[in-house]
Amino acid sequence: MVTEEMLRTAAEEAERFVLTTLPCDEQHKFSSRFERKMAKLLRRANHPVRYQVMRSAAAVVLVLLTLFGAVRTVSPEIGSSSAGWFRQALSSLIQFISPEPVRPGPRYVYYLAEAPEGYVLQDVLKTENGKTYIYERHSVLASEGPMIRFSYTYGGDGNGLSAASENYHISAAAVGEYAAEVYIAKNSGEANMILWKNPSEGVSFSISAMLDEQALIELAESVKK
Amino acid sequence: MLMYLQMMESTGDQSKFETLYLEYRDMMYGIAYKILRNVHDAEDAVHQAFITIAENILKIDDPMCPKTRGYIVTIVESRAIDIYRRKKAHPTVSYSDETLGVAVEYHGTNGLAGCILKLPARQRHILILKYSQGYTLKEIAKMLGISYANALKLEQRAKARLKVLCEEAGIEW
Repeated sequence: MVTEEMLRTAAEEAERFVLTTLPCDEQHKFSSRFERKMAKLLRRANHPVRYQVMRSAAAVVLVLLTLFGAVRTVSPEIGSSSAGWFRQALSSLIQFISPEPVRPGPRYVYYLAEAPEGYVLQDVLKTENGKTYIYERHSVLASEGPMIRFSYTYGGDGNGLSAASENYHISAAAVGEYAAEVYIAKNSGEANMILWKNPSEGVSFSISAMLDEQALIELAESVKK
Repeated sequence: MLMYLQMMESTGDQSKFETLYLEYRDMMYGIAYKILRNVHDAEDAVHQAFITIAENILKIDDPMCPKTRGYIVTIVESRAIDIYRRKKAHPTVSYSDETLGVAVEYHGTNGLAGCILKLPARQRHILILKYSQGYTLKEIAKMLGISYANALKLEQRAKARLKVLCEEAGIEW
């Protein structure tokens, strides 16, 4: 009769035998994508407190975003004030708002092709001229921060997105055929951002997340219409 | 993720994790690639396995001992199988079920061990994690990313299948 002790001995023997049949430890040249993800995992392993603070800050930002979306919906005057872009800083995020009148023409709905791995769509905020999708970290398989935000808005004359910010390193980039700007927070506990426009349609996009520049660009390029 | 990060607060745990990463990543990749036959997927399996390892870092004593090595093999194999199953649900390339898990042909004298090694990988994992590694079903459920109820059912199915294999091998259950 098979007892628990026999199972224990057999399981140990089985495990020992599996180890003898493992493939040789050939050195594998890991991709830069893997190295980036593991670097973040190792970094988080070495700085647990910083990420606890980041999570609290992100919760505050979500509340501010919700309030801001509500204000825009009920205050069209914001959308038609003086010329040029203006920027409103919300904690670790920079919200770019076009004060120019919205162009007539077809309106499309934009969305991320799929939720980033480990995240689920938590909320969709509809504003007067666009939408904001909020993704929250859902499982430990997510390697990045607690939240990813994707927004688009119709409006603006395509004159550019950039504005100076002492809290970010700003670099030029491209999302497909469109010029973009990447904002990397100087404080590593804060979200980074990518902004780009489709001038022909008059629609502006932004993604904020704790992702590096390359990952932000990849996510931006996954936006579907 | 923050919970396991907070658990790794001591310098000892942090360097243990780094030691595990540097020591085992190539082996883990080799195992994952054997199952998935795709570089990208195999790297994802390794990354996900390290997340699980970080969550359970406190249970790992010596990073270099055979028990730790066995644990890591089980975890990366399990993660690779998870990815395999997800891909199978939405296939873009063809996979063969026969390559699922690390194929092992037992040449030892313990008939029961031989039967355990004939089990499907996921059933083998649960028995090895419970009986060889000494984890509880609750801990195993968390490691494998399944509910406790599913872990219980998996153990029951593993033992039922093991019983059949034992009877076929002439081992009295």
